[in-house]
Amino acid sequence: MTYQEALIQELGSLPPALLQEALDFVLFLKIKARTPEEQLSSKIREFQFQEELQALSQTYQMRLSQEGKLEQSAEEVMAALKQSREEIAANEYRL
Amino acid sequence: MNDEWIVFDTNIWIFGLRKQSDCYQLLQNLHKLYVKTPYQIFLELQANLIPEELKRFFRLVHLNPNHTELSWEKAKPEMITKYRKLGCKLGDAAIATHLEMMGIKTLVSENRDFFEEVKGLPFRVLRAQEALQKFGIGE
Repeated sequence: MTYQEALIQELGSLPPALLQEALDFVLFLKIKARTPEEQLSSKIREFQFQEELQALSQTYQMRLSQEGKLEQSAEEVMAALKQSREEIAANEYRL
Repeated sequence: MNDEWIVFDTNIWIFGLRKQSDCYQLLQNLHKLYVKTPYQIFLELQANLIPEELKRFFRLVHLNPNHTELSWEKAKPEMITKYRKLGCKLGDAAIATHLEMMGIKTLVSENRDFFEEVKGLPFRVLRAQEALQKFGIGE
């Protein structure tokens, strides 16, 4: 069996969550192979940033869904934000 | 690409996290922009996010140290009064004051009414889609 065949066989037997991590690592290796060392850290940071943004968005939407707020219209969201702005400002700046 | 410091209004963050297309695209490209978050907007985000989400927000800022900044400075009352006299609501006056204090020339906001009737502001207001075009971001 060649290394390639062994690798494909091993990847195929991984549970989905672990498979995603393996694919992320492959992506990292591909970026590393293409990218000069000095650019690598910024590429990794960008990758981490996109992951973190995705995670925050998912967590936020899940909570909104539990609170029954995910389907609010843009107008409703905007109205709530305007109200929250005025309340916070009134609290912070009692002129 | 844009090299001036700009401010994302709270609605850009909130619609972005809800994955509204233009706003999400702006957040995805945060590393290509220079975005400051003034105190009033931070307080609004704090009011809309739970502690775990806020922690992740701080991590996002931390992952972009040269492109994102949080400001803890409160808006100057005398400048808020100036914007109130121009016709701004108290909250909007606080935002306008922050922008003037920080020398920011662009606010990105989905709020159509924002400052529409106020003349002589020292900054422009761009919608998310306009900002994407202006800063050469997107597909």
